[in-house]
Amino acid sequence: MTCRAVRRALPLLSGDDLAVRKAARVRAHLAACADCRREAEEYAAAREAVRKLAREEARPAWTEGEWRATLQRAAAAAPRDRRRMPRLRPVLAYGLAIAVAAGGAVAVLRKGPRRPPAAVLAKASPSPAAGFIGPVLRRPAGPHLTTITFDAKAGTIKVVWFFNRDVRTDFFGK
Amino acid sequence: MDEREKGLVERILSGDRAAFGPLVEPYRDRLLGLAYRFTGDAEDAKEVAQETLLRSFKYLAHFDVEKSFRSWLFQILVHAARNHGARRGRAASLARSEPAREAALETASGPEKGHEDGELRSKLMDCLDVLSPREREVFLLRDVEELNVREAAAALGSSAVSVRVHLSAARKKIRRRIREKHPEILGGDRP
Repeated sequence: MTCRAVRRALPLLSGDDLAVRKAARVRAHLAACADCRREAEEYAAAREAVRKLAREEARPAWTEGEWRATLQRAAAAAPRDRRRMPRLRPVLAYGLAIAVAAGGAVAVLRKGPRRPPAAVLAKASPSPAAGFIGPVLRRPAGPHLTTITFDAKAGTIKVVWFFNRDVRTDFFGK
Repeated sequence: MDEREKGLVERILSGDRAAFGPLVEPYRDRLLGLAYRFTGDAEDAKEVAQETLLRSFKYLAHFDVEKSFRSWLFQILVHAARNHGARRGRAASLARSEPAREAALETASGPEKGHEDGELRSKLMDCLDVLSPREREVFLLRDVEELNVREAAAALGSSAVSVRVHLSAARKKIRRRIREKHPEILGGDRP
């Protein structure tokens, strides 16, 4: 190892925080390099000096009364049960999905199939295919249901289009 | 986590609140000491340590008994100290002014002892003040409170690599500061 690489590793070596193999390589270099060894000793001394200061320094202490009062205050609060706390993200995601689906369904049901206005029907092609008579517009069961009928000019085929505002279904039949 | 602590946690979770005292008693002084180093003020330290104990009881059901209770407790303390610092409108690492510190210590332990402690504290704070907040947290947990790198990483909610990087930078800065300002403390000599 070069001196430069070793010196980069010295801060961690001083607290024995290097990986075992790297520490061994650094120590091998220190055994042969007086300059790096001196720097390593300085790191160790500085670290130990601060730790010593910290140990010797007066620190605040709890009085018995303060300690007991704190424990009582802590234990007076109800501990939060993890099982009673549902995780919010899945709940929000499901809620949002349900709201979007419900909103879409309501919009579709409220709108319903569009009823063709009479003017449009009047201009429309007279029949779904050549040879039919129509269209004949009827409202057999009130404003919600509209039928348009085409009768074949020859034969018995009849095409009936149902426009039901409440039910989105088309019927074809004679 | 040792069996004793595991048993105490289970007792608390099953409703025996009196088991909380024995669970946290071994950390009584260390919690307050670490809070003091983070806040730099005895009253603030007590507030932070109290908040730590309140939260640890409240969220004990969230604690994974396979992990270290000490690291978990220190993790709560680190968060409480950061929040406290933010509430105070200053970095959690900033201590009070020097005269205020010395006055507080003199009141607590008599003028002579207070002066001596004030001098010690002054040197210690001078060394710590060159560190960034994160370097300071890492240095205090690893070198002063003697948590290992993994425990310190767990307490800080960061990776072991990040802890090593900050620890290395902190030790470099402290060595430089001692060489420049307090060479007399190297070798254990007290002025």
